[in-house]
Amino acid sequence: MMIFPRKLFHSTIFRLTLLNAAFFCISIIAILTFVYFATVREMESQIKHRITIQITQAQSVYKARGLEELKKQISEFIEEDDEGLFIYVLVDKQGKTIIGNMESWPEDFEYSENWLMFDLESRNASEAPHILARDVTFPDGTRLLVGYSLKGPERAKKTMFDVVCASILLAFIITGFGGTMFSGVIRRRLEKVNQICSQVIGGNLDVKVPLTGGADEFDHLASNVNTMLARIAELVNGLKQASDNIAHDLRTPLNRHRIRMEGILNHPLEPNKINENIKAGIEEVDMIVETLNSILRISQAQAGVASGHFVTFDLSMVMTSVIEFYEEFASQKHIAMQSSIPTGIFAYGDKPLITQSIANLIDNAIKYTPKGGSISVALAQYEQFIECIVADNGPGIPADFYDKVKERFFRMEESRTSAGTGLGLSLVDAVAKLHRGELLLQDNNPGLKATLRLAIVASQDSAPPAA
Amino acid sequence: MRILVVEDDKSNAEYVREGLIESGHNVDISSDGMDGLYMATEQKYDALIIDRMLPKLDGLALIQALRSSGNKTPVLVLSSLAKVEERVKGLRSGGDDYLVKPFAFSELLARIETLTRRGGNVAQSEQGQLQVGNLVMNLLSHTVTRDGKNIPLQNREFKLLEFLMRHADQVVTRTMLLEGVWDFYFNPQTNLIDAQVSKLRQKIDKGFDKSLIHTIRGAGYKVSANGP
Repeated sequence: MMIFPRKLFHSTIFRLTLLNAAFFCISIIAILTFVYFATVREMESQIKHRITIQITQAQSVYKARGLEELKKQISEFIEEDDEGLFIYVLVDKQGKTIIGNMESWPEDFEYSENWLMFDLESRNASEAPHILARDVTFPDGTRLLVGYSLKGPERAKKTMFDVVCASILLAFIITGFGGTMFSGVIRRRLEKVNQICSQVIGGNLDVKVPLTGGADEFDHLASNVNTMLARIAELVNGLKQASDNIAHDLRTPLNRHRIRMEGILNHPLEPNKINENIKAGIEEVDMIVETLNSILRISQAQAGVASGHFVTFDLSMVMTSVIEFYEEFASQKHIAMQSSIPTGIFAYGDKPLITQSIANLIDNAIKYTPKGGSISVALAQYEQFIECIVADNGPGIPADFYDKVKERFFRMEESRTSAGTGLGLSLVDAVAKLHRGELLLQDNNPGLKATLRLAIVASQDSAPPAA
Repeated sequence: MRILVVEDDKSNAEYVREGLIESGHNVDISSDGMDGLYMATEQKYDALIIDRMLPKLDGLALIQALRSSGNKTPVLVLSSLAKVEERVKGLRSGGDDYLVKPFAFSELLARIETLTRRGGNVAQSEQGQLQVGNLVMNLLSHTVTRDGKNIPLQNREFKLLEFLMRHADQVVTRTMLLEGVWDFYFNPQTNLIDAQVSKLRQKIDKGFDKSLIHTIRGAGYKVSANGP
């Protein structure tokens, strides 16, 4: 009966209910009005038909058997009319009444299209019913008038009018009641969502909107709200974890820095030591800044905020350039770096973050591969994703640690002494997820094979320029 | 050179001022955006150093106002916003270079000198060719010769040398090399730049009595035929 749009708002429910009731009532009024007028018209035409039959009958009697027989016929008519609704009057040339159930020819009448309309005041002054009549004049000047009282039809009309009014009133009450019920149901369901939202605003993120299991619009809304809440909880937890980690991991280098500064203060007469400490201190500060930057980039990638800065760029060129950058490092360690980078592979994404991710993977591979080892770097495009693969034949990572190493600040015990922020793989992982991809870690037998998989996004801002 | 520093942090501004004066420049300091805009419009400066977050008038708004009035003085933007998008925003507003805090003073100095000498000292003797002393780089044939003798270079070495030669007689910092040559907007935490330059130096300077690639202590590198 009621059609609701998908989005419902508190006040909208009322407006819609009212609007619907109004439409419903208007349609009922229209239908009943039509029925009323059609019935009235039908009643009138039936009356006219009956009058015409009697006139015709009277004419034929007069024509065949004369005035006396006509008088008899009229008396019969009067007798037959049990309800007393018909009116007959027969007058002679002078207008004197010959026979009839009415005293004389009516004096005051309206005339239209062979039909007369007049009031019969003599009968009952209070009712004053309209009479519909037709007259006929015979060749000798005698005139006959046959009429019909509209008292019955008037009553029928009045009854019908009352029925129409009652129907409209009933319709209004029913739609009003139904509408209130409807809006009540909808308000109650929305109220649940609102209560949950208030709790969230109050700081409780561990809540869920209950689902009714009906798979309707409200369940849809509820499940969207739940997904949103889960995402918010995830972000808040991420933020909390990040700030905990920042606090933890920055204390150590800050402490080292402080000790160094104290050392300078305590040994003012050893210029060599002062220089050495200051140099190390500056390096430490640079390291702290880079750690901070990495944490910010990871949070930014995890929050998905960087997706607004996506561009289409030549990933082949970026990879080639990063490999070139690290060639010197590899050759210092006598590591053979092989690469297989097809030209013209374009990616849509955050260029600086992807560049850093590839650099992190290659940097890790070179750091953890012993002298004389080998590394292979490859780029491959598939139907739905692009893969940047960095594989080494170093010691690798035990499979149990594949998830652990993606966590912020996690470092394998034996590699703690190597330089690094402990954020490299976390960043790659976050960047992969930002591009709807993943960071795959596999055993390279021996060594580690790291694959940065990036989803190919269909809606790229522009077609890649021809190479 | 006459330089205006618009920076609201007093100790930072003082540190920059002292450093620039030591390097032989004249420095004015302004501590808010409105005042800075007034000074930059009223007087003639060779370079402006503008912090992004300023009281009264935001740093980027200041630069936009300056540029829309036709002022073309080189601007170095200082900012604590490290994201690459922020850098792009800074450059789009009319800044010529963008330096993220905290920075080394040598970095700031090198960038200011690069900005003010931009286009002036580029070692371009002919089209498609760069030249510093007897070192000639042909950009079309991708070849490098010194004293007419061909020096074979790896692609990465060629890129590095090209950037250094385009900034001949200017100090180029490690960060400038990372950004300009490799498009790296992060610190890779290795001394790879130093290793790359020393490898390049072996190829360019070995066997010649005059060095062209100079190390500037605490700052970076410089390619010059006139010594460091």
